[in-house]
Amino acid sequence: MIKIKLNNKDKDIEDSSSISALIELLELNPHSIVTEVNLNIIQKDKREDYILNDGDRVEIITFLGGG
Amino acid sequence: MLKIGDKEFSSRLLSGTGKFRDKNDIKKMLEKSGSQIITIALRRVNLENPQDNVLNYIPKHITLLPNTSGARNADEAVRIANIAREAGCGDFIKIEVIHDAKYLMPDNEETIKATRILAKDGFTVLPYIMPDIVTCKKLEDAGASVVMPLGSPIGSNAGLQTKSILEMIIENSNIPVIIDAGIGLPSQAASAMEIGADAVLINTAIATASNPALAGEAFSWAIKAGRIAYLSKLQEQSQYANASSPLTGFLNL
Repeated sequence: MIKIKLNNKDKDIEDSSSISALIELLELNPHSIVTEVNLNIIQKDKREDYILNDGDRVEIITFLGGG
Repeated sequence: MLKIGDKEFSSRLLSGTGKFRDKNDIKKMLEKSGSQIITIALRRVNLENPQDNVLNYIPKHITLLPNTSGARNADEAVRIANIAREAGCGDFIKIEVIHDAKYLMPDNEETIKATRILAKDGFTVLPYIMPDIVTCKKLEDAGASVVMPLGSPIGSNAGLQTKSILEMIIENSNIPVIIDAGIGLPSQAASAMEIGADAVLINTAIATASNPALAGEAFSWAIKAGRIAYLSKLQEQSQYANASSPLTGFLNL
């Protein structure tokens, strides 16, 4: 297991998990979110190949109503 | 036509996606009001209770105006802007830097900083500001595409409390002036257009109406009337009567 910061909270995930695997684990709709790792945006088509490392700061962002 | 960046719009009503009780009303409101630009916000996904992405409720032909709400300084605003662009929202960005939770007043200084950075980086920047003529000039120099001074505090429905300053800003500006925040009634929107605003941004008043689509339509008519009134150059008010019929007596020629 590795420990990442997910939306500013600690989260343990399997070694060599990709971002896509994390999204699946969280049961999120991959089309409606933006993913950022250590302040870099990871494009949708790169999520499958992007393997997370211990200590990574992952942000999962979405669009909400706002004025 | 309202020109912002390299885009032209026939509608002078910018709308928002906040506070809708039913997100399905957003589409109906856009149809009825004719609004072609709509604001959206970005937030971390609530992992315990993921919410619907608001983009699913906005037709594709509408221009998205992501805001940087939640940003407390220029750096955070720049970060949010970049996320929005990377996510495919286009290059329009409403800069909103607020760190005062009570009055929700924008920080003009940080907004100028963020505008300079983002305009240089190719964004079409729409900064939301406290009405101030010096700030507006600095924003123009920093590359802002428009300025968006507030009429009154966000969500207050208090109308154009800053009217006399807005008039000076409009007179002095070389870029479009969009009155953002505080407009609660179509008559207030008309008033903003009558003094020469190029457009208005209405969210709360429309979204919280019992019938948002109908409210959007009312605002769109008011904005059109106000715009035409401005173009017609109406005469100023006077303290004394001014007869509209000849003053001579009926039979005393």
